[in-house]
Amino acid sequence: MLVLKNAHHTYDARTTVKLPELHTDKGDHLLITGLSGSGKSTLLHVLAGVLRPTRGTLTINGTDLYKMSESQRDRFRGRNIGVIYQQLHLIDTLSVEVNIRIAQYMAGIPEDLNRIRDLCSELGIGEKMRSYPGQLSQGQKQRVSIARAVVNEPALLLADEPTSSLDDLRSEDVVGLLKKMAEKTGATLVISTHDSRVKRHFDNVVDLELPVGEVA
Amino acid sequence: MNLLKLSFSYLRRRALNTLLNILLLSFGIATIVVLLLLSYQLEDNLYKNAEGIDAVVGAKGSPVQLILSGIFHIDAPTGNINLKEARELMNHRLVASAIPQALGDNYRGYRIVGTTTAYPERYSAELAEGTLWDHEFEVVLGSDVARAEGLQVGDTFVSSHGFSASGHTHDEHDLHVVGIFETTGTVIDRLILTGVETMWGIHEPHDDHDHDHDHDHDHHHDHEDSHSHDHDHNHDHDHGHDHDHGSNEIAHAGYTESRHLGHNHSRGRDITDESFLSEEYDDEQITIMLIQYRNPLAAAQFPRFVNENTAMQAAAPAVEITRLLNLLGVGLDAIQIFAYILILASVLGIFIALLNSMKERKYDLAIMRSLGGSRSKLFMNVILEGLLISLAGGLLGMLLGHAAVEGIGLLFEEAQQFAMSGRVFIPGEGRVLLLAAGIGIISSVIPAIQAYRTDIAETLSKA
Repeated sequence: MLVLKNAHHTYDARTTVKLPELHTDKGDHLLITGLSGSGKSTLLHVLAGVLRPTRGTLTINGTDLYKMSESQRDRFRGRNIGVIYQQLHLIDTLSVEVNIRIAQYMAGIPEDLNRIRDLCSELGIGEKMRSYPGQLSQGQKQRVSIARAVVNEPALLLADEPTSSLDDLRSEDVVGLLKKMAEKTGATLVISTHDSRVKRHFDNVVDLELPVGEVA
Repeated sequence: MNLLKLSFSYLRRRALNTLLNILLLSFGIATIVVLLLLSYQLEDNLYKNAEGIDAVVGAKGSPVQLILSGIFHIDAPTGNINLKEARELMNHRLVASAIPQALGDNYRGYRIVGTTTAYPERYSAELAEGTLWDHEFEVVLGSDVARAEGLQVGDTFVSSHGFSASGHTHDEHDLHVVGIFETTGTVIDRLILTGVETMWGIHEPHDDHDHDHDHDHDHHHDHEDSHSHDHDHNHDHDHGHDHDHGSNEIAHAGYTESRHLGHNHSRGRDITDESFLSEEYDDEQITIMLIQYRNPLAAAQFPRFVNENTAMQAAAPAVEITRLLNLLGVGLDAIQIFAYILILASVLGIFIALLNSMKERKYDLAIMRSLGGSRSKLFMNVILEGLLISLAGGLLGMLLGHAAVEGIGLLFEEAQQFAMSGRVFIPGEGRVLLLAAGIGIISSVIPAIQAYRTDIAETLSKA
């Protein structure tokens, strides 16, 4: 369902990041590991549909993402790809509920308050729907971010360093939660991390190496 | 969820800044609205009152003053003219009609105009109640006068000499209210109309006595000391009862006689629109004549004829009003420049606020794009923010402007004379609102382009 082929990305005509060949099936869980500078972020952005690689193709559910026009890709991204960024990037001026609702709005999907309510209670933030991000703990914010990523039932769920700032126990929780959410909607889950604690939960691991001769 | 809500949420976050920008813009807009309303109403009022009046004839002096006093009743007249001379002009071949006005008295600041019934007819003034005057000392009130002074048909009052309420009171003659006009929206609303003879009658010395008292309470023409005219003979009463003109004696006698005969202190003699033209009044004076020409050609000939061949002058309202408005226009332009500076400041204010806001929320913009939001959606989001501020400022400005004009109309006597109201809406205001919308778009377009250009990957990887 997700295929990345022959891809590399060149920044400033000098730094070239070679991206791995990826091939996953529906419902696969994939872990991408590697040190900083190994191209994890680049890979994630390419997979998220927000960074066109200099060369190569990305196919999700048979759609070649970077052959589409930009507005088509915007639309596709909103409906098919959910991303949980390391910096959660909630919108401070909007309540929890609207932060999740905006994912439906931006993707042009009918707003479904019941779906949001169910999701929030499942993620343990049902009481916080009217709160603003500034009033939440880091863990709660992450759950809002997860809710926002999965509310449109994406085919691909991406998470960037979801456990980096968490202790062991919470780290376990979050990985479990992401897996659960992905399984519920049959999404392909791709987690990028340098956190070795996460590795044992995944069979399918792609380890990125630092490019030879390149200094990150 | 919609863009409006989203824009609003950002405005709310920087509520103080938003409020300041709205206020700044509203002051600029209010100034423009005030100027628009004042000049529109002034112009409208001036031209409406002068409609159908081709020339104003009066004593020599400033033509603007003549127009202001004769048509709008706001300045002192230039002096008086001899009835005899005026009568000759009335019969001039170029004159279709002439409405006489004898001025010089007021009641609590409302001018009393001795005229003919042609005067209210010119302004299509209908009687709300009562009748027109047909005797000396009968008056018909303009609607504003009746309302402000609480006068009704059947009431009496005494006039004061001059044009301000503080003048000498002519308490020897009661004026009787016999009618009240409907509101006309013209100068008639603020006037008290009566026959020409009433004005002469008020100023006749009482038969009985005490002319020492009378001696310096001069007549309608004397308040203009600077004005010299050589036909003020019959009204110099400083030498007491000793009239040196026979005709005046007759008039005087006739008047007192009728009063005594009727045993009716309230009424003078019967008068008609022509009675004042009688030769017995040859030595009386009137103040102004409103002339309508027989044909357009007269506009070129008549004023020159009057100015060169008589002791009077003729002024054309259309010309003088245009001149007046041009003079006024310079001042209005200056204020308008000030208003545009305020508006320019608010454009900068909104622009800077939005630009800063773009920095603060670059991650928000990136995440919205990542969530599937198109570039144009983000662009519109920012434009909408500018529009919300500017339209709020525009509407508030219009509200303030109207309130200010209403306030000016209530507070200043001069403005009341022109019936200034803040409850009038004029077409130009639609353009003001468009201007406000334009300001919103202009000041937000650069920040909006920034939002449009948000590079998701670059922004988010810098986090």
